[in-house]
Amino acid sequence: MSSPTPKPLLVFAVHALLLGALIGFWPTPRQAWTPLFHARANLVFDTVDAGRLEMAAPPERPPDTRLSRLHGGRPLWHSQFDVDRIGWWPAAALLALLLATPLSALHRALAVVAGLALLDLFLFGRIAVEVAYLDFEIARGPGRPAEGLWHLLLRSGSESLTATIPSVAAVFVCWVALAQPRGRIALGRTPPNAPPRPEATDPPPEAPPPR
Amino acid sequence: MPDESSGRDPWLRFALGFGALAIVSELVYYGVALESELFQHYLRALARINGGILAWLTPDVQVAGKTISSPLFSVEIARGCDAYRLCALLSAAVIAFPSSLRLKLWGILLGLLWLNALNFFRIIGLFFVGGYWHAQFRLSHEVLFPAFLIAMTVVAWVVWVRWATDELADA
Repeated sequence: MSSPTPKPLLVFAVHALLLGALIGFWPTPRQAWTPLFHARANLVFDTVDAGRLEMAAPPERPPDTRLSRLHGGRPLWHSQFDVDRIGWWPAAALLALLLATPLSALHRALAVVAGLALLDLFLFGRIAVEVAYLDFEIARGPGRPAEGLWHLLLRSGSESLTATIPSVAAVFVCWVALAQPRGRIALGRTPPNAPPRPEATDPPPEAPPPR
Repeated sequence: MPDESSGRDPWLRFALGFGALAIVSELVYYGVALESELFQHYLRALARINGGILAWLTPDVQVAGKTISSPLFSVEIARGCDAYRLCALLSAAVIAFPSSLRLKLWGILLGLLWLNALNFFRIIGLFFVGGYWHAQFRLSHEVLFPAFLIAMTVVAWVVWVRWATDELADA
């Protein structure tokens, strides 16, 4: 079995950008994504932090998410941010990249499932940094100077919670790890009569049994 | 990648290098750059240049510090209005890609010019969107222009990769 010649990079990029825009602005999954993420997050918080963290939609939107640390039923702090921006759009971008890459149906399906799980993990990591920073600030108390590498890293992580670049980097690394684009995307000029590339993931054809 | 035949996957090496450089650039941005006086000078310079361009397009434009104002609309050039992170993203992708130093330097230089020009276009575009279609300002500011700039960053990298790959193949 063989697959088509590697997809030219420019064609792949245009294909992925169009798919990304179509998936990203698709209203039904986009509107469902944020409440579903809140539900998943609260499940995780209940498991690891015994209900002291809570994620919900704020009374006034945007942004679409309010994360609260509760203590004795009272909120110690709130943090508001857009999950649509740091969760939905990276997921749409990764889906678009995986759909635009020439892959077998099984490889694509597995890559989509694993990719969305990895992006969820990455997003939970970013939120964990935000929680750690706000807890650090509350424990430090007002007016007391905060210095040191740990504080700098936490503050940078907290301030970049909704930044685009970490999302772009995570999406790209996930795509490369899962889609294995080596040999599937042609970076430079493609020879006009390039032979088809053997599908690396398929087993070689079986030899006939000896008589 | 130019050395696709080598044993270790150059795509994975590239992706990990790019990811690490992108994270470092974010730490520099949030940990160091934002607090620096140099960055504030840069934002004020952005405001002056954009104000100068807008003065050709609409009357009575005033620039005070980081604020551009006119009877039509006013904008403040705040953090996030800069082209730093797009430039950092493109530079990280160019540096991590296996190529010659000469091609990387050309890629970064031309890419920075391209992205800064697009950033002027974004600020001026937002000014007019705010002035004439104010209801669309938030969508334009938070989704449309950022998506457009990221797409243009990807396009710049793709064009550079094709150039660099073809040059290496011809060498």
